[in-house]
Amino acid sequence: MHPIPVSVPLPELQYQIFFDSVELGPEHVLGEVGHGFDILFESLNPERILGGAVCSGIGRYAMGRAVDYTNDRVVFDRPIGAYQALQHPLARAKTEVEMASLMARKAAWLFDNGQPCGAEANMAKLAASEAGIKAVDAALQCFGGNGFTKEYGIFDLYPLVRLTKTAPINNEMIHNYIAEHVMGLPRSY
Amino acid sequence: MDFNLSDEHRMIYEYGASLAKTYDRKYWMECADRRVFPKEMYQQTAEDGFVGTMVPEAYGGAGAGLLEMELLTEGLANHGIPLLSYVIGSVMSMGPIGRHGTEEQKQRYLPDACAGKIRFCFAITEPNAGTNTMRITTIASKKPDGRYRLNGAKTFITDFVESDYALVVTRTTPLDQVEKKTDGFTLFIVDTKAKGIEAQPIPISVPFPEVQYQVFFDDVDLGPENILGEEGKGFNILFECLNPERVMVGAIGAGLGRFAMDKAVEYANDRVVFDRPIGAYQALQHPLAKAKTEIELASLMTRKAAWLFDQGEHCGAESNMAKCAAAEASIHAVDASLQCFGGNGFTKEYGIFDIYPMVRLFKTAPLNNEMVLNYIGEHVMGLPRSY
Repeated sequence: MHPIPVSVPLPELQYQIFFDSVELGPEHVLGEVGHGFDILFESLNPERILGGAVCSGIGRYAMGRAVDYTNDRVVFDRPIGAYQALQHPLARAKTEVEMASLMARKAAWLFDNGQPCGAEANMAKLAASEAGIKAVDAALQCFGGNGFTKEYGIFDLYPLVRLTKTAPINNEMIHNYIAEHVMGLPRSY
Repeated sequence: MDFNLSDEHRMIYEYGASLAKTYDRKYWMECADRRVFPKEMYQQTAEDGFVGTMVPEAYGGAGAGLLEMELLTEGLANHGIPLLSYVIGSVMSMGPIGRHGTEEQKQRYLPDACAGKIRFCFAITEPNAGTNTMRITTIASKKPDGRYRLNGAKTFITDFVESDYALVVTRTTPLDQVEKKTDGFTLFIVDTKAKGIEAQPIPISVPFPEVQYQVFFDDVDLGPENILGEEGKGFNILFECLNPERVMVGAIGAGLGRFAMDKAVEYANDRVVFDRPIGAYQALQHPLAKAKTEIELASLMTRKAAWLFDQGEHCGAESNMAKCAAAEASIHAVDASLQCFGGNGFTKEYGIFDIYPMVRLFKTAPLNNEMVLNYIGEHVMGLPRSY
């Protein structure tokens, strides 16, 4: 087992793992031998839903901090939150975050009702990762240089939301799924 | 109009490629992770004659201009090894000292600075003034004996403690006592170890080798020999610092964008996940192609701004456009590159995400793109002031 140093601040470590003749018995099998893929879907769709939840929440957290700061900070003659160049990107990101959050909740509800939730889980992950990135970026811009300091810690929110555009599955593969399996377009890869 | 680089310009532009054979991105990142100045690399560039690019030959420099400095910096950044000291020292401090310093100041500071024996940094930003430079309150008060007492605080001062001297932007007349807001500014050459100076590092989440400081001046003794140019007329010199700073940011942004994309192209041509190299997918290829276009556009504007500066013409519009365009282009370039690498891009080993914080910082600093757009909207295009 080797830890993989990554540039994303999160408490958990990443590992590279090697299996070399590890002994396992029937008591370790979850479900049926050879039918694991069905269970896998029950892990992967909820993973996307939780990814959506994390991004929506971090987006809201960053924007909450930005609203407090921009209501307070005066550089010329009014609070910087009064400038459209800062306010509109925040408002836009707020809208995107709330929509992504709704889709994540709908996907979770479908899952709990035993209904297919692939389309919704994928859309939620895609929308939330993009909304989270925009929310953190718009918030960061409000803080000027302070946003990059450890003390204010706004940039430190960015690596995790940006990672969700790439992992656990990249947004390109999500687009592929939505286009091909939800909309009926030809396979592109 | 001739878009070909001369042999000399090509040599300057390609210097980064040869320097990177000894001091590569890995070396630069090791310095960044430990926050230690890349002394050996800097010394090498000094010995190769580049630190004093903009300093007259009589004082140990190359007697060249901002265009040469831009090409050099773009070349370093193309290989992921930009030096901020070239921005704050060579361009923003040594350049103006060469143009506005007294004979004594030039003799005293420039030969040593060109040789890499001493370093300069630049101190303008204040916590309360932010982007509104008019409101800076660091004040040098004149005493009856003709000397000055410097008081105030600066923040986000790059490399302050490690530098020997700082070019400090002060007011010698407070804002409420001047006729024109731009009156009353004076630039001082300040010994960073002088009595009455305290500096505290500011931990930041952007990997580069130089440290950021908050600096406090408490009755620091200065004399007329420390003034660059004329007392109260510092604002004119300031423009010669701030526009070139934007040009240098454009150069670093364009270069880092290329550096990331070069790595992405190599990886995407090689990596096969389904049945062809992932570089064949339009979802990866088109964002890279678009960012490539934006980077080359921004690079051209950056070079044009540098050229105008060297001709003694106005370069405010072009410097601002170059900075804004390069910041956005480099963000797009690094992001598109990062997406090609999947999870690997976030590892220290591949180091693609590690390029991102600096290019993202350029959207915010040294001046945020909103203020740059305000300048273009108001002063270049003639729209009403919006702030």
